[in-house]
Amino acid sequence: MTGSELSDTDLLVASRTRPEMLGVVYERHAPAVYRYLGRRVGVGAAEDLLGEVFVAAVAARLRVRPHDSGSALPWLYGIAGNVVRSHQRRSQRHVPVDKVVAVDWDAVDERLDAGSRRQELRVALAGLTEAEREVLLLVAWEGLSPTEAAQALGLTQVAARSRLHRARTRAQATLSDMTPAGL
Amino acid sequence: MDLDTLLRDTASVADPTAHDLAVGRSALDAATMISARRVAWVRRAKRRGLGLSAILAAAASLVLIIGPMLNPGPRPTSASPLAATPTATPGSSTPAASPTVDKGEPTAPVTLNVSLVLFRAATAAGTQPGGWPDAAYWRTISSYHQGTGPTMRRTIWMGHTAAGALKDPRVSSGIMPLEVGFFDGFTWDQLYALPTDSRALERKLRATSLNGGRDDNSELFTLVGSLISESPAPPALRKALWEIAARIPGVTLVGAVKDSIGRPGIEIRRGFEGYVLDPKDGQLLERYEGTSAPVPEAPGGTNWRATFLERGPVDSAPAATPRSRPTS
Repeated sequence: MTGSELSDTDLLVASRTRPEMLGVVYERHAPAVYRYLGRRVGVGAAEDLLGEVFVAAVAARLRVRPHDSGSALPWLYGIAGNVVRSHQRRSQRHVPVDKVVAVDWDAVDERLDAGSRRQELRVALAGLTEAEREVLLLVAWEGLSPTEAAQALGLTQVAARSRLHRARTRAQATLSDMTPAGL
Repeated sequence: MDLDTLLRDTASVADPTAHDLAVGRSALDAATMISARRVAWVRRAKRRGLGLSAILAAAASLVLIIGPMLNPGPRPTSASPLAATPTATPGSSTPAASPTVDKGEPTAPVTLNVSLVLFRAATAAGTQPGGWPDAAYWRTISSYHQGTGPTMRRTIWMGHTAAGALKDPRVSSGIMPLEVGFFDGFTWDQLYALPTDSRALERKLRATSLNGGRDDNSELFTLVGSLISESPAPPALRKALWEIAARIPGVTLVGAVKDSIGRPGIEIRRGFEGYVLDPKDGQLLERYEGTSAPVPEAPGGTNWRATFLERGPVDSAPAATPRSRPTS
């Protein structure tokens, strides 16, 4: 059995005694994890950190509780968030907005064709709490459902939904208040 | 601006290349292999009825080798990429101590582990800032021995656009003038123009540099060390070079060692040639060459070994002294 026919949930369960099953998880989800990393630290560092996320997953597999959605991605994003924060602690570069949400704005800037949108995003997110920002970006950038984002962040579903709602409302209000001159 | 539009616009990011995915996969494979060994060992131990503490101790030892690579320490902050202070006595004629394998960590002569070690070293090297594209000279201080001879101290100043200098008692009793810096076929500026994508760099090196008498992979392994040893190779280039080394067939991991002056490192080798590198920053601490018949009287049983003590950019080089005879 190669594992390719198994669901993510079955693979994570099997990986406890057969860690090589994570290779199948890698084939399925490495591109998405890479993009998660690329959005937060830039593609250069994402290349370096991709292996680190999955190496950490080998140790973390013994503690994983598969999500009801059946996807391993919320779990992997949770690990990736820790790896990004660790990377930024090691890095000597200044992270302009915040370290908690783990977004390297210089890296974000590199992949946007218009500096004004980056500035808008920074302002919109700056008014949110760290938990609000993280749940908003996991849903908006990574395409997770609110319940999947809850697992990635270690929150209850109710808390994640509540924070997402608050984040959207406040970020939109901030955007609406912005004047062109302030961009 | 609508929030959803803004978030959608800022979500765009490049997909990973096949190389990106292969590098990550090699790291995962190394980790799962070690973990699978641990699972198998615990199973066997359970069948033999070993106690829990014995099982945990043995299982923990299997992951020690991987730990240092996953948690590189802080990067050096001094101008010199080699942060460790050398303790060797300049010009000492005492043979250097042999490198020793750390008894607390298992050696793991498994090819897959080399990928992980070098992947980590490359990553660490690549996260260091900048490079030295505009420096005037690159100075490297090393100690080395050849055969059964005494350990010598060597200082070399490689000039960017001006002549360099060499102070090496085996070559000359004074300071010998050198031509403008030339690093295995590349000028300083050409070194900084080399591709830093490891696949492209390997193609370039195989096409332009490998014309020796040995097989290409041996030449390539030697070239990786030569381009790092006494050159201002920027971190991105060092990263690419270690990634190339990870792919060369026949490269094996000797294990966690201390170099001749006691610095912890990781030793890799291919055939009779090897390197000790610092997994925290990808710097080359030591390189050596052996022979088919090791030299038992020589330090470490090798025919030649160089230990890099300091390296970094400097503003000037000393003037050459009149030509004189070497001391040995």
